[in-house]
Amino acid sequence: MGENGHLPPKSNIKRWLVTTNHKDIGVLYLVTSMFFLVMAGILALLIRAQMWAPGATVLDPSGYYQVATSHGFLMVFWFLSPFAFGFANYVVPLQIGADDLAFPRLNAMSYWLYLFSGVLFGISFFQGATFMGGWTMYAPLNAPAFIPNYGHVGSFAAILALVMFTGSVTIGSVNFLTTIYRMRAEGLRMRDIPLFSMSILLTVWMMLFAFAALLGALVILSSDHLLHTSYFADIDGNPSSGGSLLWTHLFWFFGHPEVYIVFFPALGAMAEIVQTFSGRRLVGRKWFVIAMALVAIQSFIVWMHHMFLTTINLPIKTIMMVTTIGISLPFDLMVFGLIYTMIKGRVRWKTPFLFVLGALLIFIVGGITGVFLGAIVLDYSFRGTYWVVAHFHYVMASGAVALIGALYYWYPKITGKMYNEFLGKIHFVVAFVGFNLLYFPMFVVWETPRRMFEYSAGFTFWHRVASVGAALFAASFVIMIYNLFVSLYSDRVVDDSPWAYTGSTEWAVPSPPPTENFPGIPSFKSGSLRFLDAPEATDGGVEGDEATPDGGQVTAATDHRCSSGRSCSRCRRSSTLSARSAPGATGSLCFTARSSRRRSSSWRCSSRCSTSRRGSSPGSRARPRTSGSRSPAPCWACTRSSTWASSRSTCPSRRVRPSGRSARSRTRSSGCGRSSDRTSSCSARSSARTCSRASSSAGRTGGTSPTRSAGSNTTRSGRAC
Amino acid sequence: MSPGPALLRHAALAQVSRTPAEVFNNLYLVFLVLGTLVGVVVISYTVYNAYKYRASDPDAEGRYDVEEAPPEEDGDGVARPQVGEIPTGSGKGGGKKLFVSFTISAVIVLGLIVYAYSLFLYVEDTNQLYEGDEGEDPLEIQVVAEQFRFTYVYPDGTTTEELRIPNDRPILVNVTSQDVMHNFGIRELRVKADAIPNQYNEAWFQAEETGTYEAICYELCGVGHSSMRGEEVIVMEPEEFNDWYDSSEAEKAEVSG
Repeated sequence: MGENGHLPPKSNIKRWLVTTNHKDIGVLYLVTSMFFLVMAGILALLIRAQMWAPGATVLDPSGYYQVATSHGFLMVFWFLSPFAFGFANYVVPLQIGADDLAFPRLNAMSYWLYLFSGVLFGISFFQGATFMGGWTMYAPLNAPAFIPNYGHVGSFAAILALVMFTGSVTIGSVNFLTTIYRMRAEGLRMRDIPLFSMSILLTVWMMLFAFAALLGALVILSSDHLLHTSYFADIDGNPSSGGSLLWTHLFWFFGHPEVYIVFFPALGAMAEIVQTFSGRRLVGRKWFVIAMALVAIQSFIVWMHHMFLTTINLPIKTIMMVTTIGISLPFDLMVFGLIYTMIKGRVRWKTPFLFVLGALLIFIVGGITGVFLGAIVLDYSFRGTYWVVAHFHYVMASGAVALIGALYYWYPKITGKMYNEFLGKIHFVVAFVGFNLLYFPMFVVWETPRRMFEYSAGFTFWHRVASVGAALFAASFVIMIYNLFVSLYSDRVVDDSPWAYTGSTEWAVPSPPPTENFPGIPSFKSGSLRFLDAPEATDGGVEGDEATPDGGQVTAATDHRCSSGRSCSRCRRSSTLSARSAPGATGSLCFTARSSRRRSSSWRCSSRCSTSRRGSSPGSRARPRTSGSRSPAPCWACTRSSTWASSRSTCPSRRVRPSGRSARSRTRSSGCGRSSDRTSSCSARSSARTCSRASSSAGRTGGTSPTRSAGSNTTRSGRAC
Repeated sequence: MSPGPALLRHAALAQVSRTPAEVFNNLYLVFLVLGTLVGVVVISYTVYNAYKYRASDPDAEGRYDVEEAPPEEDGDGVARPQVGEIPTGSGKGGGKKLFVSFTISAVIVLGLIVYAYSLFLYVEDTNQLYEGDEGEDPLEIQVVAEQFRFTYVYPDGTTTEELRIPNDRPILVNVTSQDVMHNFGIRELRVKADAIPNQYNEAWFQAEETGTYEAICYELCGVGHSSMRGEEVIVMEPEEFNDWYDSSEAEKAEVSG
């Protein structure tokens, strides 16, 4: 079966067409979204070329509006979110200890819908003309009566592409929600999941509700296009009485959460990267999470601040102003949290950190200029000008910059190779200078009307500076693509974690992780990550590991699973599940976090617990009868239900929390102290667990040697049970 | 007369004489100064910390990052991340600082917004325009936007394609659209209103200086949007304006021609 299971090797194109593995799909998302980034970037360069001098210099008006509109669509829909979801696909299951997303095939479908919607959007350019009414698609300009005849087909194709994209997003949201709620490793509470996963969780919640509003708007717009209804305007060009406002409400009810939808994953990545490269846990983590959750909820009640100049009334404007200012405060807290994390840290200026630092600075500027817009009197004048353009690029592109940092951060994990650090730093410098040259002048000449290529002659100088900046910014990405491509073939091989002070689970597995992700069942029950596993321990597999503690553990781990899952060889996830549900006496393959400074030996089984753990394997909880028998797990074990069950428990023991917080936080997991005999009955197990929990924390506080913790375990068990 | 009421009256006068343009310019200045200040402080502090606490040690041998210091040797009580941990707390320090700076930022932002909101109420209140002296009532003009021009309708039914207004008198525009959504705005006079089909949107402004200004459409309204500017807004002395306004249609057409 090998590392790839039944899948063709990665060099085979078929692999990428048939794969449902979350890591493969993550890579597909990343690569595809980079294509759309390049496409949207070229469109942006066209915009900047047009703005080199006032007037229709490069493109005719229709071309310019198509370019400006498509740039917005592609960047917001087909680059930012999917790029972030490339990481989400790859990293979230690893971080929470799942072997894949809950619905791998839906995940693949989500990707292919995304790809085809993007392709459809690309095709719309060649159907006369694509949509040219701006990415906000204000009504009734979006209705067929106001679209030139040559643009009817292309415009509708663009709308259809958006509908398809909404489908992709919705499927993805459901998939991630199910995964994060139901497939976490044992002992990993919701509040404890790594910050990137947390940000993705909140993002998909927002997506679920926000994109519904967009879909609604798109459906009635399609109806105007296809059935000639008159939600926005009838076919003779008579606008409906409330259509304009209806569209702005529907669109911005989606549009404002969308801002956070594209920014949150970047924020989560920023938190992880700042943590790692500062060598310090995030300051005020709890408050950071609360602030994020607050923003996620509040993002749905600020949308009318995009509509201050429409005919909404004073009380509503007031409410929206208050909520808008209110939503800026949690962001203050998060930014300060990130800044203070660096204090007393061991800050390494590696490329990912540089990008995140740059993104943070850019975001601070974007945030401050956003407060300007929150004051309605100022907003009245900023509306429709380059102030808005500069502000949201400082905010959204800071998200993009942070995600580029994330790309450098996870690149070694995904590829197993280290990028070229020098080129990475060059990329950062060029990108950061280019970015600010591009967008800061837009604040200086903010009185240029947005989406208008005519502007006062006095502004020409600053617009040229911006265009030069755009060229620099674009060039920096050429450096990045070259760097990342060439590094694929370099000999800079990395093992589990090339970075010091990483925290989350993805860094505890090899780079790239094996298809099945983990060498055993990840569990946090003891207070830190362990991989429980190996029915094969009885076959001597673990013995083999101990014989060669410095290498080959990964292979060994994979082999274990293969050997037990022969009968299931056709099932995709057969081996893991069959390993999980394999009954009987199991050993526990324990992973000692950071047990060794040496990369090559980070899979380390510090001790073997050959105690009988009958009935304690997660699958058994769903099917106690199966676990009672010794027959090999049948193929139906590949259904997801058993995995879900593994994260649910009917036993009261699950509610037992480790008592000493401080004890847990300072601990370095110290071998395996599980010696209590577990039986299959629920109540017995629960008490056994309580004991082992108590004992293991006692062991940790008391001392660090495995023997000693095992010893105290026994005593405690005796007493408490 | 005691100084108190005089001051109040003075303040009231200042209030009344304020145009939306002045309100904007003052408020913008306040925001710009405070915003720059806050931005410079926060950004410098961020970069300073990132620089001050940088790890000077080189990469560990054969690795791409520094050697992790064992926690026992980290005497400063800071919790360092470890692979496979459940993160709980960041160790000593930071928490209090976090809340102090959060409070400061909240006070600044809320203070600014309360101040801005009081000005907003002033700008939004069009009834006050009628509370002035006789003959100082605002001039009400209907602005009709269509692809790709503005048309102005005066109270007497005069319809023009250039906006002629007197200075030092509030102008109340009632903006609507005949086709798609537009946005009527005059840059220097800080007036702006969405022109929405079948809706009427009010805004007021007041010009101080005579001269020519530009009316611009600030909402993408179709292929000709970029050319929907350069519309003449002519601010005249009141007498001059009255002469023009009282003249006949034919004469008006001549002046415009």
